[in-house]
Amino acid sequence: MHNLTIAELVKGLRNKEFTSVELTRHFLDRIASLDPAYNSVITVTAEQALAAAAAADQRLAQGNAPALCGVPILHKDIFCTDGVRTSCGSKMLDNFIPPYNATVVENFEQAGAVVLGKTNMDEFAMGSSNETSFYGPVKNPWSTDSVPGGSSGGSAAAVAARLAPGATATDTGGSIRQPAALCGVSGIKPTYGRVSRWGMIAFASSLDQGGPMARTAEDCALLLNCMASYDEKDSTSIDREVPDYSASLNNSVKGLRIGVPKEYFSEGLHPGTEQAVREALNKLEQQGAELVEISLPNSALSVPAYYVIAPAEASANLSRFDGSRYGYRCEDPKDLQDMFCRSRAEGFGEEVQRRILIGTYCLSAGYYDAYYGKAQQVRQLIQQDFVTAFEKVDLIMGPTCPSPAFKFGSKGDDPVAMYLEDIYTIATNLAGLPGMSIPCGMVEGKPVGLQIIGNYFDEARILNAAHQYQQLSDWHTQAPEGIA
Amino acid sequence: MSIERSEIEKLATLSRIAINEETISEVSQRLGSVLELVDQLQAIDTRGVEAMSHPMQATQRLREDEVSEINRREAFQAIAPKTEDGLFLVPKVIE
Repeated sequence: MHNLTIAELVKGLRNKEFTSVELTRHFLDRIASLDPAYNSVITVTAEQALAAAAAADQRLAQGNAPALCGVPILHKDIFCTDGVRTSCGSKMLDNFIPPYNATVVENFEQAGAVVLGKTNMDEFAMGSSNETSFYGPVKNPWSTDSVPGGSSGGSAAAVAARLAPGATATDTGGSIRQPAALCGVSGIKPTYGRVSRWGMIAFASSLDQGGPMARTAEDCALLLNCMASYDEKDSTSIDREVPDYSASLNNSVKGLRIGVPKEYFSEGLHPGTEQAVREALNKLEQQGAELVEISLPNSALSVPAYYVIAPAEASANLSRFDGSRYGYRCEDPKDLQDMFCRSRAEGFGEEVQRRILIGTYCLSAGYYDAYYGKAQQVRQLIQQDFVTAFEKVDLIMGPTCPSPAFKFGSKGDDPVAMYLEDIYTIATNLAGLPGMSIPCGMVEGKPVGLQIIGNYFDEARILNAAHQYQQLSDWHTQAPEGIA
Repeated sequence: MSIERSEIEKLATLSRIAINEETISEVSQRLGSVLELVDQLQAIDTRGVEAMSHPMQATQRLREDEVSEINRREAFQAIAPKTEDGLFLVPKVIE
């Protein structure tokens, strides 16, 4: 059952080939027996899952089942779940049990999905390797001495290892697309404002966006259909109708104009990755798509602009964690300042502290204009590059990341080496555009991701192209050793 | 690029993060390497470019000033480190 896609599971449940309880038990058993090797799940909610599955079976029997009724999924541990610990990968929230659900969690509940548990992640979503999690790193199912990517590494590894057919994730600088690429699964970061951020623990509010991961583009469409919504509780949510993302999957790619940015094929790109991506592009060209070389001249500035904007916003967002009302409080604080300073020093890990300090620096008196103001101007230039490109093309495609999954510890002590991992994904967040990664090859036994970037609210076209590519290829059906 | 010890201490105070004496030079070095990266921005000519804070130039929505949520004090205080008589307890602030 774990090799079936979500689309197949939905059919199987409706045709009574298996029940949701059987399905849920099967995935819970897989998590129990296989996940000790990957560490992709922080909290398993077996009891609640089985109860939800039983309720789903009843609705299926009554014939009034909603879209994802009885389908098991995992939530990234950044989405607040009522009564279930939501740690955000941090010691700071190790004891935090939210009294409410995130809108995304609520949407999946409405759709009848069954939640198996919460996935591991980089602490507060800050990282590209899952090495910053308080709960220890997630291992890449394709090669357990390599990283799964981050920050949604737990969601990506769990889907790759068939511990769940789909999972939620979030993306601030590449945190859906990069782990999807490194673990050989499909994942889409929608347009900024498409998916509610309410109850999704904030990292950088002008960049954060939730999205789904699954093995196929078709499944991502099914998940996004229920994940995307307008939400009055999120002041940056966009009031715009959610189309049926499944409806256009079968459109032909004939005549589709695909922009290929020359800056994404330059120095630093692994030759094996480049070859896999070029072959994928050629496949689409053979189906009648047109490849157009384009330029995104300010691409190189996206990493420095991001490392001003994201830490600056994080330093403000994370000021709420002070040991007063929830989360970690240090032992025996001698006064209020001591409680703040020690709770934060003991509750936050090294990378989170570093980003708070950087953000505080960039926002502090005398530096604001030179850093934050400047970065926001550069952000405008980066967006303009895309606006100009989309006058000529329908989609933009290139590699998701420069090379396949790297080994644990290999980025050394220099934080900048890790930051460059997101060189092809960050610009999309700065511009607020939707982007996806799908598997398009293997290098040294590890998956390669093809990145597909679309214009604002053009998720349907991205998913359509991704689905069409998956009709011509079988990279998305391959499983790591010992999994199938 | 490295940052002065006094500057790190000031940042730590502003950030309300206690910094360990022994790690200051390491923190300074790593922050320095990040600042070196972001300093690439200084070379870019951005005269006349407007700062961008939201991809769709959206502005904050306003709503009527009406009660929309019920008071759930007990639920919120159940997860607090310390409470007393419906209040959050913190170390003494005023002598």
